[in-house]
Amino acid sequence: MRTPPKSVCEQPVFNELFKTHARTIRNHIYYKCGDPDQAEDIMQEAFIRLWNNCKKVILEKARAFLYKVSTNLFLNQVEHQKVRLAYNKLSHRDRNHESPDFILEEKEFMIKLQNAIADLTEAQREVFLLNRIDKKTYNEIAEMLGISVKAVEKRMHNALKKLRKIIKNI
Amino acid sequence: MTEDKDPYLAKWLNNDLTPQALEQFEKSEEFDDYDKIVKGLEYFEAPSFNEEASLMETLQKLQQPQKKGKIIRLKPFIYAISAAASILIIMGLFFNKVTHTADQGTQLALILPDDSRVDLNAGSSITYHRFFWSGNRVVTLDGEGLFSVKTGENFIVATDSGTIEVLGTVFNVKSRTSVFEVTCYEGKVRVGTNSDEQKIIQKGEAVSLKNGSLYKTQVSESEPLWKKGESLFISTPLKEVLDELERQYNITFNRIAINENKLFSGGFLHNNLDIALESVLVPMNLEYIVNGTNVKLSDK
Repeated sequence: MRTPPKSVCEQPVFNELFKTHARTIRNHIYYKCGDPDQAEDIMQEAFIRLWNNCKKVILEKARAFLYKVSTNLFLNQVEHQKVRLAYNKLSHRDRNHESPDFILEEKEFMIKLQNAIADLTEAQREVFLLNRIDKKTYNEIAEMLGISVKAVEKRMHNALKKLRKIIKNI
Repeated sequence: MTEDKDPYLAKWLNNDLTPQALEQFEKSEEFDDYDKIVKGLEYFEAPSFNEEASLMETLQKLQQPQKKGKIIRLKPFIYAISAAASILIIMGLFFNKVTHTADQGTQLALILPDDSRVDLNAGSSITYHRFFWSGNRVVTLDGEGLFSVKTGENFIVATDSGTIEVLGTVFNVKSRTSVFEVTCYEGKVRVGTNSDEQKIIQKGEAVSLKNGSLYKTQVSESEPLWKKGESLFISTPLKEVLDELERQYNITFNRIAINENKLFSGGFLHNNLDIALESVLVPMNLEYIVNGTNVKLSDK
């Protein structure tokens, strides 16, 4: 008994793929360009291309297809523009018990960190934030970007090192 | 330790450091800085993202035609067909023919492109070229028709049995299956058969084809009898008379039980079927039963 392989052309399969990968892809592009709207457009365009090519892309390759297409779309779009990244302001969850001084100091630190992240190279930033914010493992990131796990580790290491240098003004 | 070969920060972030390495790292002066950075990072979030809404938007975009310029492919096959069709149309203009048919039970009066007049008897048709008419006045006739030809270049009536050439005249051509008859009411016509026999007839003369040759006869009428709504036959096989009846009244005879070769002399009118049937069938000693448009014949 062999059930026929699921096709990307089936609407439920497509919707499932979207729910699984849309956020990661959107965030990944966002870490590169810093514009959430543009990131979402690129992500949606990648899914549209997946749908239009659903007969050629088997389900197992759909994720790789989406990563590849979204990255290429990003490269095509931002060739001519450099985006200065701006990250979310400090969220104040369970911070109310801290002293005002501490909060001020923390706020300064967060702004520094924010700027430091913006100053990372694009290659460092996408790896670092996919791991820290999207909680992607090194393996997953390596697969997403089509690089080795060793390269991911190196970028992580260098990213963190660079953040400290920038913040410490070394 | 060299950083290139041992990205210890990455391993620390991934909780991959050996206990000894971790202990050593935690004692280092940078540890607090790194720890603070990593903890501070926890307060960062990617901008909010609504999966459901984004999926709906994507599906909507899928419904719409793609914004990008559509690639319109050249379609050589379709162009080839178009070109072929154009050539066919042009050829058609040259060779296009018009056919007019007078159905069974009707007569038809036509004006040809040169203002010549043709009256078609029932069950007859003519065909002529739609274009280049003036230099090529050829009319193909199947059946019987009265022609009033305008003076001009040669006017030719082609039939299965022969051709009639004229220079402006009035004449009747009868070209049925077994009959070929030309009657001239005005002017002069030349009648040629398929076996190259030719006869010129003048006003008041007629020729008919019998056993492959033309025989000239005299006529006194100024127009054919069918134009007056009559048919007249002299020693004509019954088959032809019945054929004419069928044409004039759009009826069908069932002739299985009779001998069609008997000769008939007489006529019938075109305006009353009962009288017409009576005037032909009673003298020939035939019984008939009318059923709609079917007439069954039998010997008495």
